[in-house]
Amino acid sequence: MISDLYMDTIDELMEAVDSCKFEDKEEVRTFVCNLTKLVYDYKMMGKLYDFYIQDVEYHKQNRRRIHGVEELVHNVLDLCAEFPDLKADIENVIVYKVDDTFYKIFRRLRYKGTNLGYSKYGPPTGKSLGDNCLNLSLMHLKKVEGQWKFVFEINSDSEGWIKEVETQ
Amino acid sequence: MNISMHISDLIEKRNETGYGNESIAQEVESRKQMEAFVRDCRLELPEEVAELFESYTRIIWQYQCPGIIHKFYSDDTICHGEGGKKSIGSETIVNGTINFLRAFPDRHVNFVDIFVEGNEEDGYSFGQATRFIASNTGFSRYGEPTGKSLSRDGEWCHSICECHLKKVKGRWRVVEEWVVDSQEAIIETMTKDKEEMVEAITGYDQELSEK
Repeated sequence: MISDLYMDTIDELMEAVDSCKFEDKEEVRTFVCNLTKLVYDYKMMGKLYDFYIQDVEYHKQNRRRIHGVEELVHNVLDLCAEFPDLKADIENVIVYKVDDTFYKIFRRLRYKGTNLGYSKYGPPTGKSLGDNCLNLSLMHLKKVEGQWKFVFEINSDSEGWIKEVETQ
Repeated sequence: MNISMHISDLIEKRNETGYGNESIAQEVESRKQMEAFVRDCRLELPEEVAELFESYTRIIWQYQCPGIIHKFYSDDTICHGEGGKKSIGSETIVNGTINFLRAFPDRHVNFVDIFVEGNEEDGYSFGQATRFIASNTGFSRYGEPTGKSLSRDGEWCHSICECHLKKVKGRWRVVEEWVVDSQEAIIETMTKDKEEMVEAITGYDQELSEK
């Protein structure tokens, strides 16, 4: 059953992110890929609460700012509702180790999906994002009170393209 | 590395003072030191590459020397943008930069971060984020300057990019770049009222859908 396959994968990814030791760059790279898949492909956006500090400094494109992890989760919920078949295809992850308690990460991915849910532009259009929905993210991952957390992120969506796909 | 430390000091000072707070002579002196660093840097370590590209970006944008784009960008450089936009070649990048500088001549580059992975043999990958601090005081494709600032209510327009740097025929080249910036906010800044902005953004969206 598809649900079994999904749940087995979710269990594997959860185990991987929860047990990550963050000891080297490769481990961090794998962690970022796994967490991204969990959140977007497997709709476990609540896992973001585990790895972002509550008052994370989070900037989006076009002067927009996300105020805290709750708003970040709502933002992901919006996108997943608008594109229920959303997948995040990671193309590259750059990891720079500052010291044993601080990594800098740059992630490049493309969102793939179809606008089958309501958006701020109106009813679903059925149009696909195709290969055009580039998303870039620069993140700071730090050990805060013994736990690894994202404390800072700049994340830019292809906003113009998403609007184009969501407009009749 | 002395020169490297000196460049860091310069950059720190630049971030503190902002554009236009130095005399022309100081500007020229700062730029020349950055040019020397960019010219002499051997790109042997990821940290050197990070420092080099910070200086290089400032020379292009802040010191308004877009011609130096040709140093690391070639005829074959592929640049990917939002909505599947793609451009090839340094000439297109230079022209785009000139048009932006013309519209925002007081542009100040505030570096948020840059970091690099890789080595001399295989090449380097880096991620970079900058903040635009500038006002539309020059003519743009949308018409006369509006005087509006790119930053508003303490929020900035960010530009974020990833570059792959490799040695091609003995020269270090950015072979591929991915960039997403704040197009909607940039267009809004260059247009006078909401009606004009909607028209401009519709035109931009049209370009995306026709690509």
